[in-house]
Amino acid sequence: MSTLAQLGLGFSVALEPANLLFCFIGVFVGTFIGVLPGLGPIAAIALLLPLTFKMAPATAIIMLAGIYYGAMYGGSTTAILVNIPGEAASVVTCLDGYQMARQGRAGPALGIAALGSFIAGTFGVVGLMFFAPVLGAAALRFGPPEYFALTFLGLTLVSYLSRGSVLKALLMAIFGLLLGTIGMDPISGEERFTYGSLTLGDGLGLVPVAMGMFGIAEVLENLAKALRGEVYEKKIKGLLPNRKDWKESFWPIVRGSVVGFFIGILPGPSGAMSSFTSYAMEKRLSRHPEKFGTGAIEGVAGPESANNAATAGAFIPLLSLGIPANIVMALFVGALMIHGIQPGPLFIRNYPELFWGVVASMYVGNALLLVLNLPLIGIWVRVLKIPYAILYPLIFLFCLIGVYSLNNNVVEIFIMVIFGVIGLVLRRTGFEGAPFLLALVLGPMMESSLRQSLLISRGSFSIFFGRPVSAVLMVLGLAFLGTSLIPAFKRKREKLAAEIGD
Amino acid sequence: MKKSSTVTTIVFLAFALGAVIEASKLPFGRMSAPQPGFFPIVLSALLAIISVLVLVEVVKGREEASVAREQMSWKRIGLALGALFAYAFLFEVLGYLVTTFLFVTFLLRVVDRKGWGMAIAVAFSASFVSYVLFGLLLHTPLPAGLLPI
Amino acid sequence: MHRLYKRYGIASALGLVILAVTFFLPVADGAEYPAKTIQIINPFPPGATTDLIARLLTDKLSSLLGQAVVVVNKTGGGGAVGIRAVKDAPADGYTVLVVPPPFALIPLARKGIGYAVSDFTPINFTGNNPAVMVVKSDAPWQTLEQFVADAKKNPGKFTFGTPGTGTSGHFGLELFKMETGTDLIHVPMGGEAPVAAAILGGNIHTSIIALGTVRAHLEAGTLRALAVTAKKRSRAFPDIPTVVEKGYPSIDVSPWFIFLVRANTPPAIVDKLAKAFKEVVGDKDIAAKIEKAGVTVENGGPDEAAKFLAQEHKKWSEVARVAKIGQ
Repeated sequence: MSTLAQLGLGFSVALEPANLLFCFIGVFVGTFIGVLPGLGPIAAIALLLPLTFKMAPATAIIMLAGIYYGAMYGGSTTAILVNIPGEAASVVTCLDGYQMARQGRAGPALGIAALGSFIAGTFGVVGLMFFAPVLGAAALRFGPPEYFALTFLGLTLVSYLSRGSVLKALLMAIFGLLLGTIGMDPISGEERFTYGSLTLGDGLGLVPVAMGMFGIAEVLENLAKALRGEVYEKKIKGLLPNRKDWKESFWPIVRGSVVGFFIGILPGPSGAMSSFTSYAMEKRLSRHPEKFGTGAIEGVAGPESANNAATAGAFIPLLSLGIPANIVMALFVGALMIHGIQPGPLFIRNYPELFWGVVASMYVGNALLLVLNLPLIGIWVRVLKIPYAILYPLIFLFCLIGVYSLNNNVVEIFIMVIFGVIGLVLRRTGFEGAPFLLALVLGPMMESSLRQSLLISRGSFSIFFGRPVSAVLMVLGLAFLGTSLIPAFKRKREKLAAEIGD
Repeated sequence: MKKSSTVTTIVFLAFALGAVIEASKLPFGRMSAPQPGFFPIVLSALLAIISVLVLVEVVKGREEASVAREQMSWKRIGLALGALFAYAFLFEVLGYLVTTFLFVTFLLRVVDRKGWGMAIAVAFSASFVSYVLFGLLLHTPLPAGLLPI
Repeated sequence: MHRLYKRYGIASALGLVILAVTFFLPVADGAEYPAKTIQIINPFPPGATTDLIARLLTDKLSSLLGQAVVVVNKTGGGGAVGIRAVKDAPADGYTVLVVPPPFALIPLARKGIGYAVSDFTPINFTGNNPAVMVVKSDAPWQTLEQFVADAKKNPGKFTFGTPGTGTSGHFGLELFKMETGTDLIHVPMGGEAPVAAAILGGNIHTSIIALGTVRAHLEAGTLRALAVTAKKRSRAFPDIPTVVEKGYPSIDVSPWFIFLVRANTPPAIVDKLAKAFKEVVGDKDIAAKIEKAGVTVENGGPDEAAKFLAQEHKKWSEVARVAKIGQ
């Protein structure tokens, strides 16, 4: 059967009234969950899982998938409006999205996030449709050495994530890696730097730290500046992206979609990695990198597209290998197993109507999300009209309950507030949060893949250069590190030369 | 800016040195079987080195000021932080609804000098709506505390 | 004198009332229980079989007990946070714990974790999940004997993936090494799925892994099973021999699922809960769904569960001692 015929079969499944209804319920719940910080798609899917036990398998997966990619749509909302990253993937959206909101351009920021997500989501589904089996096999080539090389490459991007000094960004990244070692050692299970705290045993949670360093620190800083009502520009400049915004965002969306999709195939924190990578890439390619961090629309368009494409990519290892790339995918395995379906290498062949039905439903779902999200923008933008003196207690409240709802653990509230203070001090002294958070995301994966590689190679570092994929990634990483550090030293030399000249 | 930046960098350096000491208490292992101390020791040493480099950069004052100098009202920060910590401490004792109500009222009334009526109205609706949203709709097990819910 | 009597009278009346209350309360508790929502605490994140089983039961449990039964994921500390939360909750039967083997292994692997298996009373031994020892389909070993012989010839050469140190996979590896006299390199991968991916990608040689996780790959022939590490052959794969047949009867490392409440919960409540669980797990429809998730349903009551836990504890304590885990 040709792909087109199979897609026809898929649409006949996806457009059945029950499936259409549950697709809508899924994306609706997803958007809602995504907007709320803390509670993510995992909690929502776990909550709705028992409902699916009585559904047909296709309906169940269509609804659960809707929650998953719907949550990615909604995830950017609080990041843009009030600088609260509800999940790791929206940390970079804060950098430019929030600045846009402050300039009265929350509408275009949210609009480009939604449209970019739609384009990327659709692209991701096309990729899923044509390349699932091939890419699934390719993902298997990623063993521990490749993961280490990938995280190393990812970290060399940190210099693009800050506006200030490269050295300071590097310092924050190492600081993030170091704090990432808090908790149970991923290899030996030994507790490190937990000092008796059970909560720290699982490591510093990324969401509490990110919400502290961005959401809480931002409000504290605004309070201290005693700006009253001047935090946001009250004049709303457009509800949707204009022609210029589009022109600037087109290529970032395309590149973000491609990069996000491929990173999404790999297990691990791919949503966050894809958005960080896209941001770094756009800043490097931009003709005006200095505008990043002050409300550049490319800085919203690229990463938001990337993390949505990544959600489609994440389905590949599940559907072609039966290997869940993250907890959400593991929940899907559970939902399928209850119906006696085991995702694996034979899945697409054995259950074509299920695979194609889900794929087709993702086209439908993405369109529904766009229809659902565009009118919401008007409401969100109006939220910013609330006087800041009344808005900020609500922002605090949102952070507090959001962080508690993650694990129902009050200690994480303390962690968030403490990192709010740390974040405030650091931003007042020119140290930025984004490189730190990227490192915190990548740290555990970097350490375990490094140590696994050394266990496998019995202590030889040649394992990183002897395998083609990891060798390429390592060389790229080293090249990036070189090019980002050399200007710093070069400037130093020039300065020194100037001083001597004087 | 320059002074506070210097202080922060020195704090980083001190932190890094402390981390070296703490990390060296963990077993380092050998290359073929790295132990828990391996990664933290390498990182804390790196952090110390980079802190020194940043310190040189900052002291030489070559770095362009990326943070604007502004008048800061530390009193409001102090009050807000006090409220946040108090919230965390009281959350499980008083329960979600009571703590949230007190928290929002405090911020509006004490930090922002809004009228009592306004403060209570906003606090009441905020705690109620968020409770319905998270507690009832999303099944977050919020502590009940004083209230018999 | 009069007054004194009067006072005595009041005191004794009060005493009687208190006695009556303390006497009747537990009974009343048993009769009125449950009067509010029952929480099933899962100390691990959603997505694993443990979570799935708990969520499969809630609906029927609710209608049977007449109160809402909800699953709460209280994660942290590799499971210790949730387990301790149940230990610290009141012994009133409103907080139930659901656990896989790490419950029994954590106290062995990590000192001072703050709970012991004896702090809990089991109410239902729901089932177990047979595990298999697998290699990649193009690996040279066709049988367990071939692998063991090869591993003996090449000590410290072959890698064995586990979800992490102190997990049941790790204890299984140590048990395997003890029983077969082989020396394998332990590579902790951080989860069952990464272990499967690493074997498929040829990055590690073998592992003992839940059958449910690799079932599709055994069917597709991308992985080869050397043995089922359980007493009985699997119904789904009757061709795979068991470790018992291969002469290593003690390498039984099938993950299991048990529900517990904290110790000192009034017997009437334990009884009521145990009965409800027994009925729900025994429900044909629900049992079928649990079996589909790759789990063999046992549905043992409190006594069977307690006996089984005691056996497990003894077995793994010995492995921890010999392999020096947690020392």
